[in-house]
Amino acid sequence: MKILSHTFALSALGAVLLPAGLVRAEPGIQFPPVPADALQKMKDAAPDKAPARPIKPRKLLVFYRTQGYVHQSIPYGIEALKILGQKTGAFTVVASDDMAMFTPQKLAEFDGVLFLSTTGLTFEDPATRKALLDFLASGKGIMGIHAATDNFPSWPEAREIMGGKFHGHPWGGGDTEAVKVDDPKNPINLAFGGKGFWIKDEIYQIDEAYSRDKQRVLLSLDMSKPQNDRSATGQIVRTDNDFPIAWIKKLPGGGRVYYCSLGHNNEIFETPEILRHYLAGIQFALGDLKVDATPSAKLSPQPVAATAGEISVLQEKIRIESLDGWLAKFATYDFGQSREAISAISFLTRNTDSEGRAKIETALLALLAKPGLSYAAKDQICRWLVLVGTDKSVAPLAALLTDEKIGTMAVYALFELRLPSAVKALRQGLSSAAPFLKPSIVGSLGRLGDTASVPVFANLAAAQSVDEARAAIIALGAIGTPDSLTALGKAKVAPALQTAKGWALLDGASRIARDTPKDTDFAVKVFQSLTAPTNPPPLQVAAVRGLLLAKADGAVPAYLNLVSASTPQAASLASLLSPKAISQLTGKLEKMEPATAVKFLNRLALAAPFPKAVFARVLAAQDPAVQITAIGVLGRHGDASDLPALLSLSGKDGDVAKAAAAALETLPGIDADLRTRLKAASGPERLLLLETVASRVDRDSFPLALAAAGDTDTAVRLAGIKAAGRLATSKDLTAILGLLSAVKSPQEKTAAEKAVVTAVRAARDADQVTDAVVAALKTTPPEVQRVLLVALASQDTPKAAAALNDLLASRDAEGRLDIIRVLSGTRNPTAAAMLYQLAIDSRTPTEHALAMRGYLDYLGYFPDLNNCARSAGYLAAFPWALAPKETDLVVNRLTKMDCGESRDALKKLEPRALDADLELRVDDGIFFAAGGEYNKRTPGTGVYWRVKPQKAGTYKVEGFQNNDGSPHSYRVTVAGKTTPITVAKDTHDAPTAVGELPLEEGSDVTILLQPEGPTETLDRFQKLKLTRTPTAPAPQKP
Amino acid sequence: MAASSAGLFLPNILRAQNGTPAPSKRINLGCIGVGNMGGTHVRNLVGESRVQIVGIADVDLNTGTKMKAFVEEAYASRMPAGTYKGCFVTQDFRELLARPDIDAVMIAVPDHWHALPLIMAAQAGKHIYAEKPLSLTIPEGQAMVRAVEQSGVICQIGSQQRSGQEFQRVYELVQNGLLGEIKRVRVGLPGGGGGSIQAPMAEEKVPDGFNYDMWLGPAPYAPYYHARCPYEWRWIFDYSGGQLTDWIGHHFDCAAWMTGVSAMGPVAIEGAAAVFPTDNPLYNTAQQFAFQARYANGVKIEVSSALRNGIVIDGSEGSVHVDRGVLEFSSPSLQVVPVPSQGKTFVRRSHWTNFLDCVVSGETPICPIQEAHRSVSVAHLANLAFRTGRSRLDWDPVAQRLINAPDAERLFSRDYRSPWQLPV
Repeated sequence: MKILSHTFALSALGAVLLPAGLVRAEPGIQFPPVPADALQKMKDAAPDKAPARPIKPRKLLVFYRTQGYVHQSIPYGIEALKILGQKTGAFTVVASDDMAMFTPQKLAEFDGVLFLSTTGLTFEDPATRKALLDFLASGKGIMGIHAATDNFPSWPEAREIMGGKFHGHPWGGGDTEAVKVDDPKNPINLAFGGKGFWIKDEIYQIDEAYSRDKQRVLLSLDMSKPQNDRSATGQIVRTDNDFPIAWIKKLPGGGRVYYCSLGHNNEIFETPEILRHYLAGIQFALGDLKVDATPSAKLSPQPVAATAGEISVLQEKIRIESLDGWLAKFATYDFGQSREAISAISFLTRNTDSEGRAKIETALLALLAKPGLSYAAKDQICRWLVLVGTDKSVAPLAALLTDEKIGTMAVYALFELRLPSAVKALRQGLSSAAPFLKPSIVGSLGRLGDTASVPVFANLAAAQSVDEARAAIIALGAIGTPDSLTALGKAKVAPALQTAKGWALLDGASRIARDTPKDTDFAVKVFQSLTAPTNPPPLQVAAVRGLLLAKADGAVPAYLNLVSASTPQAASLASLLSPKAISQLTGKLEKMEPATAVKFLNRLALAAPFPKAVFARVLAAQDPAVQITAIGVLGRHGDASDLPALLSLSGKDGDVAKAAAAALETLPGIDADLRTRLKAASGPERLLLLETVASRVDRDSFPLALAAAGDTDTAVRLAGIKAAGRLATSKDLTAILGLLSAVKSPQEKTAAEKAVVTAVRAARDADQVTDAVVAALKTTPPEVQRVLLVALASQDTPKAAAALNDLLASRDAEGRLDIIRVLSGTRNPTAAAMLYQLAIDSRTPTEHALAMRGYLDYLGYFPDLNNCARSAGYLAAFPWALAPKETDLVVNRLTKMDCGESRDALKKLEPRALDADLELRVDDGIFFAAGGEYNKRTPGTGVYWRVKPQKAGTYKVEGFQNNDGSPHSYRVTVAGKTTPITVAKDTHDAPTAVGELPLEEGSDVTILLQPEGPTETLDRFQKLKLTRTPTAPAPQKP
Repeated sequence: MAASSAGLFLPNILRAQNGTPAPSKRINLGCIGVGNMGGTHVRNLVGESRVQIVGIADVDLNTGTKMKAFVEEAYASRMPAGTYKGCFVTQDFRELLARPDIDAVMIAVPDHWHALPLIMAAQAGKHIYAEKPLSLTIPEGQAMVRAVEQSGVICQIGSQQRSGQEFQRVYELVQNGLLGEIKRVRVGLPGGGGGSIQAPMAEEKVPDGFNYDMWLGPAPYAPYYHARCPYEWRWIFDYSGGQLTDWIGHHFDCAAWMTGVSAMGPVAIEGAAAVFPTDNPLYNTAQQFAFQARYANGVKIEVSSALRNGIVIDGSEGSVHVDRGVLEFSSPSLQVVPVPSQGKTFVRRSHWTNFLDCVVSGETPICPIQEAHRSVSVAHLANLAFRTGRSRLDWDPVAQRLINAPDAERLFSRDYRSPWQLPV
């Protein structure tokens, strides 16, 4: 029996599985031509001049062969590189995807090779590898754009040269990422002007060979920007938060490397800064541009990286120079039309300095003066002027006040300018403004605190127009000076506005009380006047609140008046009362309606200092709701001295007792007292105290709980077990496990099991738990062992798995099934790996069925698995799925996965007709592994085929392998029967006989081939051949 | 601390013999806005025995009438006679607030209409359940807080995640120190927003029964489009602040509440960055955004539309990710660790139940207006930073004033369209 190692199982079933579902294409693809407008954009974007003059005419091989994913941006890249070369004279370009370019003779024509989004290049022919290495050793350059790091799967040396390996792109082509310029002064980075930037492109995660010790990093993701955070995607494997984008290096054996991962999106090749970066990088690799390529980590002092600033996308090219163009576009804007120009101009207003804003203001005012602008355009100009406007904008805005519609925006803009000239313009504009606008002008002046408007507003407050009068009333309050309030107080306002006047006075008085201490007496007088019972109760409450906050003399009597008048909102003020005022209130509490008293008590709870006497007195109240409220408040705010009273109340019946018990659970500072009482307690009080200390999580009470768990009284035992389970820490684990052996009833068993589960999950050290549980298993009766097995299985560690394997080895059939059931319910990767192996190594059909079902359930359940990982799990299960029910289930689940893996495999799962003979090529089979990456070059990967014999008979099985100079060992399994084979070194002509296979007609058969041994792979195996033997024996069951 | 075990027992005082309150003791509720969110509240509340819905106000008479019929039908089925009339409907919420029989109001209207009804309801002495985000601007929020404090009414803001058990569990772990020292707080909010519309948009007629002028209310004039009004108003700065303000009252509010900064404002918004739509004929709020809110006590909350939705809190004792229905701990022990009952704990109950309990008990609801104001202020400040091109914006949380940011100052408030007045 062997188990899968923990890490192996994790990677098998975790998130990391394989690059599935990619579009694969062989080389030789014809790309559609690049559209003319894109070509034009590239021409415009390319620089006129190269950073270095070429030492001699340079010829660049742009290689774009794809043996994996095909990037649609490749033709754009080719054209852009051609344009860069033509426009600057830095190099000429030959583009090719033909491996035939990699001969010494061909390469000699070139000064450099640029891998443009090549994918999956294998360089299988050793001669091509040598040609490229020699080319570099002769001092030439290689370059990579975008997918150039996604090549050479079987050629580590080339991956090392490129400087890293693609490991997924957690940042998609639709995302906009912040890019940090690591080395701002590097000649290759001059295009970025010493600033980080934002760009919309796919960004790779680079791993393997990449290291700042080996290369000079030019650009990387600016991880200080939360937008770049992909930690939640589960795709991040780097632990150092370093995601390089571009680098250079000099190779020890000669040759230079430049790489930049930007270039997934077509638009990248139309972006001036990026084209300049490419050009400089290429010139470095060609040897024309001299750049220090000392690895980043070895620099001293370290360059100060330039992080990205405000988000802006390079491609958008919105610059202040473009203002006039955008404004021309904007001039015809109306509602419902494209807001592109508005977005661009808004972008400019945000991202320019004061000089830029001044320029924008001038241009906007000029536009506003022109006839024919739509309302929508004027509205938008007013909005921009809010941000960029100065004194210059005041007159043009004021001129709009006579128009009732656009005037709204003009008032808004004048208000927000917050300039004295704007206030003056509003004040002067009031009389001539469109009548509709007057309330809004009045309101604005009020909020601007324009004291000069007070006389005008005092008249308006009594005006005919309700809207204007209301605005004036509110404005006088908002101005909030003794003068404005005096004027408001005198104003004869319409009856409908009396309440508004009251609130405005209150507002003004509150401002005075808060901001101008010298006028507090005035404010208090206003508050006093507002406490008149003729005012609406909320206003009276607000006025009394003003008095209480101002600590005015008349505050408490005014408050008590409110209470006497049973004003319900008065309760809200109880927490503002002084101790003396509270004592005056207490007498009134007892006469209140219980529902009202409850509200007062709850607010008094918040008074400082806590008025404990009130609550102690109310504890004996007649009304249970009042009593319960007091108990609850004491429970939260009381202290140890309240313990006896609450304990005695808890002995009563009904809701009062429940409330008292709940109060004991919350009362601060009583843990020591509770323990003392618990030691001496008996009967119901002991039960209550056990529950209380458990609820309070008073860990020091654990010994008392444990003692109770061993009591003779059944109720005490049960309460003790429950309390012990809640209070246990990891040091108490053994004691908790010991409870299991002593249980005397089903309830106790349930409680003890719960205690074990809680204690086990609370323990941090999994190995300590395993030791304790293994020890406990030796002394615990079988009927209560199940929870211990669960505890073990839930550890999800190699040590716990080893312990379970030991148990499996020592148990009888029924005991093994118990363990398999527990593993099935556990649902962690370790348990799943064990179930998988148990399904293969099962001793009985029942074991197999249970283990297989448990494993498949895990795959279906575990939420962290993506469908590709699930598919891999199902494919690994299939060859061991024996009963039709199992195979059907696997196929059914695979059908639902709908990813590259599953779609491909489902086709191959269709059995192939086996007539006289059939060749089963490795490459046509279904690869699988118990975990990790699986392909024919990885040890542990097996392969299987499905066949359907057309005739019953005995079939000869032979194995073939490609010549690599040595024999290899495999094993072939059919219908549970395994045959080891060794295939000789070269079997092209003389295959190795595997054996003979009797097969029934029409049955589906899975033929499984696995490499034997930890290092063997399927890499050299070619095919199995089945041939029906001429003399057919009688069919027999496999 | 709003937590209370007393709340468990209190409602009894309003219960009649048979367990449901006598009609005269029910809380008479008026509903202002019964569309998307408000409609959901009404549908849930007709089954609440402590509440009697007596009035509905909606600028869309069709919606209002439909919900009135729904309420009356639901109540009729419970009447001995099988019929019920008695739900008032209006297009003008002021008529509803003028009714003395209404004890409390539910407000679920577009954000630009949050301040006025809430302030007027408070001044009329009505208890309030109002939807988040609290306000359209910080000055509005200040006036709203004042109105509630002054008039002494109970006010619950609809950040209902505070009543969600997964969020309360995290609150309890953090506030009782079970996550250890807090190292990092991250909040992921949705980005994007806005249905697909394209320029040019054809003119549209205001539907019959829809009082569009009232819908606009204090907002600037703009022509009617369906794509402007129901639900989609939230992507337009005149009425809302985008996904950021829509969600600030949930995950950010909870993160601030869990880490103990919900009653204070930040001292700075840092690292502010946003991407605005470039070619949309209506919608103009940020589609992607990120910033950090730094508090005087050292707490820093990172907010981003690029993070996984929800809250991640890293402490010295472990990490937790919480979202609606999602509670993931870095260690199983955090899943089971018991919270001491004398610590900061909650009685799990729904957001509405908490509100109704507080109306009865006089206690402060779990999402008090003061804290809702602090939460949404952070979104307003971040939007101010985005809209003025600042990566950093300093804020005096005590005086509630911007520091050294005259341009942001100019976008700080919004003037109301005549004749509406913010009764400061």
